[in-house]
Amino acid sequence: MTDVPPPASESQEIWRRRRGRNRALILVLAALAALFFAISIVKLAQHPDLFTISLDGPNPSAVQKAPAKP
Amino acid sequence: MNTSFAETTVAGGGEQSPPSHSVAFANETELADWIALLKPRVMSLVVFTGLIGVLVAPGAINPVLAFTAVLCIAVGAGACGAINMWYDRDIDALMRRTRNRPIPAGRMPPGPALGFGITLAAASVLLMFIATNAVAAGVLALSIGFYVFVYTMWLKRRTPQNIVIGGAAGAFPAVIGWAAVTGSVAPLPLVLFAIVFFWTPAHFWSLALYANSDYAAAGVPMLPVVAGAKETRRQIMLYALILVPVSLVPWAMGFSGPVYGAAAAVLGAGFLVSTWRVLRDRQDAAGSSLTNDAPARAAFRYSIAYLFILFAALAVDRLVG
Repeated sequence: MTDVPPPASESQEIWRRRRGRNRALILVLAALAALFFAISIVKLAQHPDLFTISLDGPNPSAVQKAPAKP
Repeated sequence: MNTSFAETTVAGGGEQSPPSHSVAFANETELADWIALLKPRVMSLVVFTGLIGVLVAPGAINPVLAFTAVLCIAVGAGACGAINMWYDRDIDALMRRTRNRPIPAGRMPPGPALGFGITLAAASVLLMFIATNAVAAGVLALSIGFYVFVYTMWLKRRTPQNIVIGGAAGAFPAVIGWAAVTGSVAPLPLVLFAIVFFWTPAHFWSLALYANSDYAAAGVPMLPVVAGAKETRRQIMLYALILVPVSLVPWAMGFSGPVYGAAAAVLGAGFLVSTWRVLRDRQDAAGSSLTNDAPARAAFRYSIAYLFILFAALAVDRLVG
């Protein structure tokens, strides 16, 4: 079956709908990115030890101390 | 033009092949239809009860995490709505109240609606777990599964008690909100669960009393269709009589103060009056209303206000007291 080209008014309608959906999608993605960023910041604040990076060696709070020799 | 999908999907056929540009046109579903899949009006009550669960829970939660928890409850409820619309597309097409929904109206094919629902369900549970804890995520997953599998797929078309048992799905949000803050489930959220559970039959059967021709046309065994209007009015009164004492439990057990206690008593009295009017509605020998179900319509509206004000009073009591 050969494709019948859509009438101009239909084509405009398709573009209108697609544009509306794309804008909504951008907004949703931006909001999600902001939300994940905010959640990360909150979690960082709640558990700072988990995210500590030291240039001088391993994170001291994340390493178990060996028992002292008698 | 937009009805091209209705012919191929609602009837379950799929053999017809409309011109390709019609398919392309119909594929460009309006944004409003995607939003309609989420049943925003139902979502508002779910969000509200979930928020109350967060507010009345002991302990503190970061506002960002609280917002995320309520968002997850809302998205989970929306996912249930989308999957429900996918599964019920055949009976939705038969009911006046639902025939203009995106799938039966032919504005959206069923497959994407199902995919949308499953994606949102999974995303809401996952995000809840990341933002709060495993208990809240688990109860959210349980509530979604209960609504989809127990209510929509199993009970709705099989028993007139569908909304009694299925009502549990709508009672979960307060428990989820509480669990998001505390990481556990305690007696108070279970009482809130019971309040919504016993509120649901009176609320839905009031609607079903004046929309029962719709349900009968679709073959959904709602109580007025199966047992008649008289029995439905009796059951509405019965559940109201159970609901009012249950609503006083938070005050009686010391979970809340006098603000909630007074609100529950006054609102409960109003609920009993409105359901009593439904019971005593002027009716013929068969039980059909002679007042165009005016008391049932009033009771339906009152039931919505009842739950909103009751839960708001609980939040005020906990926050002020």
